[in-house]
This record gives sequence, C-alpha cells and structure tokens, in this order.
Amino acid sequence: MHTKWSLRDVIFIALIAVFFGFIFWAWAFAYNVIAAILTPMGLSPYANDATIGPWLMAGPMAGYIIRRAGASIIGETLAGTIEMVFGSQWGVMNIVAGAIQGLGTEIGFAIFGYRRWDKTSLTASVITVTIVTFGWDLLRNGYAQYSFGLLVGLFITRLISSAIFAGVIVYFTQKLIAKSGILTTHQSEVIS
Amino acid sequence: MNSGVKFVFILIVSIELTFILNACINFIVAIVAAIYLMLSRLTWQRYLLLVLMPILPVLGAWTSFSTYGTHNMAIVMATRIVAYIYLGAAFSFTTNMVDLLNTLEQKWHLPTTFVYGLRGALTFVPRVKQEIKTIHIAALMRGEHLSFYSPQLFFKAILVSLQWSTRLSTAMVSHGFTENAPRTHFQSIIIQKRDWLIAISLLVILQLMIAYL
Repeated sequence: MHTKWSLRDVIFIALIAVFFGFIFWAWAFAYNVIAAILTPMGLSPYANDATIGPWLMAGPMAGYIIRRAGASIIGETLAGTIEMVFGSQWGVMNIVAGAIQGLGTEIGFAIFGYRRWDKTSLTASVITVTIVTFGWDLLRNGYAQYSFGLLVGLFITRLISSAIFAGVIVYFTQKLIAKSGILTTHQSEVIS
Repeated sequence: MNSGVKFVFILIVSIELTFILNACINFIVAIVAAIYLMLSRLTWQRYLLLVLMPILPVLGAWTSFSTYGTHNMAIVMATRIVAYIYLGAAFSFTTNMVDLLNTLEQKWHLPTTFVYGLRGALTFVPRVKQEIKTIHIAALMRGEHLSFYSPQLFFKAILVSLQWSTRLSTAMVSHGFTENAPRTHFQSIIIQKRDWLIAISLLVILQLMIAYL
C-alpha cells in the first residue's frame, strides 16, 4: 500500500472536498427546512438523523475512489472545513464533526486492511459511520435524554439515510467512474 | 490575534461546550463571541446573517427537547446552538484561511505539499460554484434534470477535480514547487506572546466559570 501523498493527490482530494463542502453548505438549508416542517408534527429529532446522509458522503467518496488509508478521514474533514468557510450554523464544530464522520467511514475500510473495495467494505463503512456518528450525537446533541424506543427509531432512520447516500449513491458514482476508465488511465498517479 | 492561536482556542472552547450542559456558560460564550464580532467591523450583510442564522436551528432544538426531553435540556441545547454559531463566525468571518495555513506550515510544521495543495484548491472555490451550475445547465440542455443526489453530478464533479488537480499540480511543479522541500518565506508568521496570553487567560476564566457556575 502506498502511503505517500503526492501534490496531485492532495489537490485532488481537496477539490473533491470543495465540491462536497459546497453541497454540504447548500444541504444545511434543506436540513433547516425539513426540521421546520417536522417540528410542528413533533418529529424534529428525526430531522437530524434522516438528513445526515448527504453530510457523510465526502468520506466514502474520497476513500472509495482514492483507495488509500486516511483518504476518507482527510476528505471528510476538509469538506467540513470548507463548509465552515462558506459560513455554517455549526461553526468550528464542522471540522470536528467532519473528522468524526471521516473516522467512522475509515474504520469500515480499515477492517478489511484497505484491501477490499467492494460492496462488502462499503457496507461495513456505512455501518461503522452510523455507529460512530450516533455515539457522537449521544454526547453532542443530548440524545442521552431521549427514551430508548425513540433512540432505536432514530438509529434506524440514520442507518437508512447513510445507506442511501454514503452507500448506494457512492457505489453508483464509483461504477460510473470505473466505466469511464478515467482512473485506470491515471492510475499510476492516483492509485499507486 | 494570530489565526492559528485563534483556531486552537475556538476549537477547545467548542469541544468543551459539547460536554457541558450549562445554559449560563453557553450564554456567556455567545455574548463574548458576539462582542468580538461587533468589534470586528464586518459588513452589514454578515451582521444580518448572524441575526437570522440561529432562528431556525434554535426553534428546532427547542421544540425537540421540550417535546421529548426536559425543559432544562431545551434551554441548554438552544443556547448552545447560538454559542456555536457565534464562536464559529468569530473564527470564519474574521480569519483568512491562507493565514491559518501559513501558521500551520511555518509554526506547526504541516508538510508543504498539504499546505500548498490546499491553498491551490481553495482558490478554486468560486470556480467550483460556477462548475456546479455549468454541470446542471449542461444536463438541462439535454433534457436531464440532475438533482443534488444524482451520481451523474458527483461523477462529473470528480472528473473535473481530477482534471483540475492534474493541471494545477503540473503548473505548480513547472513553476518550481518541489514537494516537501525546505522553503524560505516572504511573509513570515510571528505569533506574539500576547496572543497566547489572551487565549490562555480566557481559557482559564472559562474553566473557573465551569467550576463555579
């Protein structure tokens, strides 16, 4: 496994982070609208878990494409940082949240020693990122206050959201990339 | 204040707030950050944004916790959001990212490949915004609507990133950039003792407040 990051890899991962940072930033508005709609129905805790998926995407996207140890965590942390630069309601915590989300994804790929890059490792990363971010929300968003039944509901909601965005969509994006052959022609530089 | 010191300081305070369930401290932190922002002479649009930004998230947190949690918790979570927003703004609205990266490079020895790679990528921010619009409109011309979750959109974003990163790194290397080679600096970063002193004393005051409030 190659661990040295070349200038091009760094710029590549940072640009992916800029794209996703912008998407994250735009998604925050959707999140607030969804939360506002769910609030009068008394379902606002679900807004947090149902909408988490898009925020988790930069990590698996970077990891699954660059296929290198640390890519998920760096990609997701940078994307969080960029979101903060655009101006965000979570401020500096974006960086911390990004690092934690990236770590969650990274664990999933690390379980397989960064050797498997298929549905299995991607599924594992979806599960680990859900567990890690849920654990973080127990602390940060006061989830410990909620009843056990509500927590189970929230966990399942979060798992579905991350499976769709950090799993299925990442998988299909990667398929498009594989089909186009851009990474095989550039393989010597990007994946080496 | 040096941006590196400010970053570390705000990061520590933000993380501490995560573990502290005290509305009073959240409130004081928010006020201090707000005063700092007022002294920073931002544009009126930014001040307006700072007034409007907390409304929805605060309402959301308030209703969640007053429905499913305790009244006390609702106050803590609502004030915490305001504190986060103002703390975050106290950093991101007043600090230049390039300044922070320079500090990370010169004082805390982040590898130059990362520092200059990131600086290069950051200059692409306006182009990225434009590119997302272009991808969107190009698809519309072919009668396809790309929503934000469309793999096509991400695929094209990655394609563009790959292209730009190749060009930019080639350009940088051809202009003499050598990965992780020692560099001299036109602008050397100096962290004043005063900056550390202010940050540390504010942190001490925060710890005392946490202990006694």
